[in-house]
Amino acid sequence: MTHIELISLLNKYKKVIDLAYKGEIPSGIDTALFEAEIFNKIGERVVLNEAYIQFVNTMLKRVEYGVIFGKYAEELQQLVTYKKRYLETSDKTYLNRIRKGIEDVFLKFKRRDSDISVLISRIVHENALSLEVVLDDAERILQQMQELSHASTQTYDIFSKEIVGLSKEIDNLIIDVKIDIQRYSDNLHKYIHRLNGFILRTKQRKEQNNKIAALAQKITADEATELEALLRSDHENLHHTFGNTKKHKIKTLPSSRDIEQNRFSVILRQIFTLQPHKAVTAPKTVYKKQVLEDKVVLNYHKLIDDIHREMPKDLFAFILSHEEIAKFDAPQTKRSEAFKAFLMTVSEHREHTKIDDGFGSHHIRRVAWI
Amino acid sequence: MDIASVFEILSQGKIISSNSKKYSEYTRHLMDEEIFDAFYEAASTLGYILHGEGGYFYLSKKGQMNKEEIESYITKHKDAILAISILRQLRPQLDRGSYIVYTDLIHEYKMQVKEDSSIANRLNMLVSGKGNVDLKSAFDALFDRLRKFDMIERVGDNDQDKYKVLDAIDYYIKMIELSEPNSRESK
Repeated sequence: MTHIELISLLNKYKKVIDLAYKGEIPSGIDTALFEAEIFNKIGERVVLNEAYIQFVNTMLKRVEYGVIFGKYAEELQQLVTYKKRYLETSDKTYLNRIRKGIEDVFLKFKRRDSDISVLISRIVHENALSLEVVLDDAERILQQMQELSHASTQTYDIFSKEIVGLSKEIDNLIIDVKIDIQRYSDNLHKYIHRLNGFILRTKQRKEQNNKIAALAQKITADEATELEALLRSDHENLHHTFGNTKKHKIKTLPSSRDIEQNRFSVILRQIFTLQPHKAVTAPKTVYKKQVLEDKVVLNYHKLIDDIHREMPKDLFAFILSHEEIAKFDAPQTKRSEAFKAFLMTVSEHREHTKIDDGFGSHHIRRVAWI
Repeated sequence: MDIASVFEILSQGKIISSNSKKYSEYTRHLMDEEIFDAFYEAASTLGYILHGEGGYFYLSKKGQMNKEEIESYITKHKDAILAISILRQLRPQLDRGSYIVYTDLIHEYKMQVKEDSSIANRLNMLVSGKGNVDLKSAFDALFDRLRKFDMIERVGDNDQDKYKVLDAIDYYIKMIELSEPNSRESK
């Protein structure tokens, strides 16, 4: 069978294979799948090929912790043996094997680091399993990670003390690898810390869930007396329930026998104290009649035109006697309006005015128009 | 945002959570210590105590409650605890900030009710006012209660199925811890 034929076969029977991958072995599996060894028979039992499961898990990053935590001791022991052989025989084949061995151990460390990270994320975010199963898994993983942490230190020591000094190439490789192993070892400590925290929280959660279940059971059996006592005693500090309170209004109506009585109002008075109603009179507002007023306005432009034309020697006296000022009734108003016009004219037409030292007839400085 | 708007919400008997999207403006406002203190004073003169701890805010009432209020207050707390017990049985890891999906919970309930009928008793007790109802209506009522108790909030408008668990769930869980100080192994 070629690769492409295998892919086609997997595609053709994808639903059956998917069910089997999820743990449910369907009946009536096509013989082609047995021939391709996607499925195997162990006696009467049908199982999905373990190699296929591992391939899928790797591709989907669904690592199983049994796969991650391999044994390193044997490989390390092998390296020490190769070193011994090399020192005895000086055969460079052993040097190549040592180099390959170091690379293998390093690659395992690297892959394991990423696998553990995925595994921990998965277990921390596991929602479907019961807390007991999650806790059990987490505690087993933690134990294995602690063993691994010890193995990392051992590997580091063997590389540093046992293998070093055989060749420059291997020494350089060991230096590079040791830096990374140290990093992975630090990560491992972080993972252990994270998993420890998770286990602690999960244990607390488990205990909390037990309490919730116990109290809920009491509530359904109407035996939650401790809760009721707690709520009653500490209600001032607990959440109030105004939003849910229903207000019941009680309505009562007089019976027909009561209404028929002549002195019904007397009976009412016996029950209620009735206050006589005082009529309140609205305060009267006095309105003033609206009258039109003639507003006298000074035509300043006309005044300026006349000043230009007449060129008076005493500007104030001229303005005061001008017809525009004559419009105003009272002499005081005339004088005040004239003075305002005088000030305005002097300030706006400074270049046309000559201010004398002396004063005019109205005790105002004499100003001549020039 | 002002104290009056916050009071309007809290005086309806709501617990508002910091991780709620709907009330984020209100909680942000209350997180300002000066505003909190000012509100505390104002609420106090009106006969309420403002509480703000553990990421949620609520008002409690000073003085004695009348019989009706006490009854409603105890029933509400019991119902909330029953609702939490159902949630935690279906999702043992559920906590503030978790997400729950309506259809997933119904599916999980169907699986669990076969082995443990007590969950059905609790659900029935919680929605008993609705008479004999089918599973969907019972879950509608359960989610409705959880929303009214301010424990969950719908995520987005389009995704009608997904809800966020709010900080206020801790208020009830703390009460359970106080009421049940000694842990017991449940069956």
